[in-house]
Amino acid sequence: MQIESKNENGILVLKLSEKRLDAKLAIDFRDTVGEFIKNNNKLIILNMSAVDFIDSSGLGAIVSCLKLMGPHGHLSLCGLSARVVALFKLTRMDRVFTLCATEEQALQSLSLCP
Amino acid sequence: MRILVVDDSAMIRSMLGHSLKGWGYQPVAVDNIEKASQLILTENIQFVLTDWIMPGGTGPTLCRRIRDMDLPYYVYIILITSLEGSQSLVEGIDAGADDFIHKPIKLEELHARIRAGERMLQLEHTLKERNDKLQEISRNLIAAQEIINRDLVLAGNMQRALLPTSSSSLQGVSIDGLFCPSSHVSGDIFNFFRLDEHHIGFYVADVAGHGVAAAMLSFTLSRLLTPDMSRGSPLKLKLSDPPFYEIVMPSSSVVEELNVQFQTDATHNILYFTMIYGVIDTRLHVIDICQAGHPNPIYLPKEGSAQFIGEGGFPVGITTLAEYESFRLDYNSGDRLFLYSDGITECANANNELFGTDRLLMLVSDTRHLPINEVLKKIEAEISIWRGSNEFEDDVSMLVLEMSSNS
Repeated sequence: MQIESKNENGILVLKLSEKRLDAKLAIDFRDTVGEFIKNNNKLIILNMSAVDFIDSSGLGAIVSCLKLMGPHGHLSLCGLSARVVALFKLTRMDRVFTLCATEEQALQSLSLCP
Repeated sequence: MRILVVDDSAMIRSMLGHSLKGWGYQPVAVDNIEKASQLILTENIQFVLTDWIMPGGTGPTLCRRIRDMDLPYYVYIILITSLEGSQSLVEGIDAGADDFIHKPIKLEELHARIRAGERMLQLEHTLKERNDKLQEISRNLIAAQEIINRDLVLAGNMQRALLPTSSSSLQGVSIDGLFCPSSHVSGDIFNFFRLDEHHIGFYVADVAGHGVAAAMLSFTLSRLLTPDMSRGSPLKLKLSDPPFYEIVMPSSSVVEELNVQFQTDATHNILYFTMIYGVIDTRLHVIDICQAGHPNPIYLPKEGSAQFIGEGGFPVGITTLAEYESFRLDYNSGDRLFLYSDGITECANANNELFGTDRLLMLVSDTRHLPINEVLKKIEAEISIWRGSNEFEDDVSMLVLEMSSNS
């Protein structure tokens, strides 16, 4: 699985370079992002702009990541395709996650976090 | 290692025998190829040193005979030749010889050639051992695979037995279901049942992921979601006065309760499911529906166009903070309601294009004239055509209900 990581002023930006986040990748994705979370990254942006499809396993993996962050972390998502946004709306996950249109907006919103 | 020496000259047999012994081999000497063939067949000799020209049969003839024996191990053959020129070499190789040594035999060279042959036999032996081991592993794997497959087929049959009988009619409502697991067992499950004389309960559920782990949760759900109060139904509440029960309403209360029961620990990979639970009041002609992250149902009125209904909702087991709501749908006789898993809308064709919601809506509209069991056959056929086979990547399920005003 392809995940690029970079640090922007203390905010970890993870870009998933896969077209599909589905049952085949879900566990790998959770474990990889989970490693970053374990390494004490409290502010994380998941840039999903390369992803055009997420299935229920993929969604489960993202929710797992959010749970791993715990109450003191912030996980924002950006660059969701229209299809992925539809999934987040159907499952009300748009109310659980901070969704931003672009990485810049996500960085801006997280930079206000303590 | 035993080495068979085949030579009609007693002097050469004796000279070679002596040298071979000196190098630590066990020589066996014969003077013609008949005796040689016999010994090779009966004594498992794997190394042959043979003269070319002998009365009763030549070295190349012996080579051919050995190769024709089709032994389960390799026999390494060195031809002793006094003939010169390339023709004899080609003839010897074609007959099956591995190496040559020219007369007069230089003993140092012979020893080196025997060592080379030994290395080849050793390699052959190691390969054979590995091959035997692999074959044994492969046999065991096939046996294990057969056991797993048999278990899965059994589990699949058990799961199908949990599904309602197709084409049922309850209180005037006709119901039919489509169930296509992506493997032997499915994370999808559905059911419908009489709650009392004026109410029918129905649900469809899709456990995230597919395969065995998802199927185990769908088994649990199907056992749990029963109208049978003696089995602790979460769909009915016990009362102390007649009729001694109350149907749990709105439908969202049932889903809320399931959400409490099915939370997974954050340290584990999250296991959750989407579902729709509904209660049909067949007297008032109204359905109370709770949509928990499951795809939007399609409502096809008898008169009018097909439309998606519902506004989504949290899946079950994903967060304790989820709140669930129900909505009411008034129906008329002949109206149809379609509930389906995302295995249909997310079914990808060869170009990775998804079947999608629009195509499904159109397909459902086009089936209006068909009886509902035909509708499901048509839908299954259409998505199989889309997929290019009837093997799906994700579990596929659909429940269709046709309403009636005469209960």
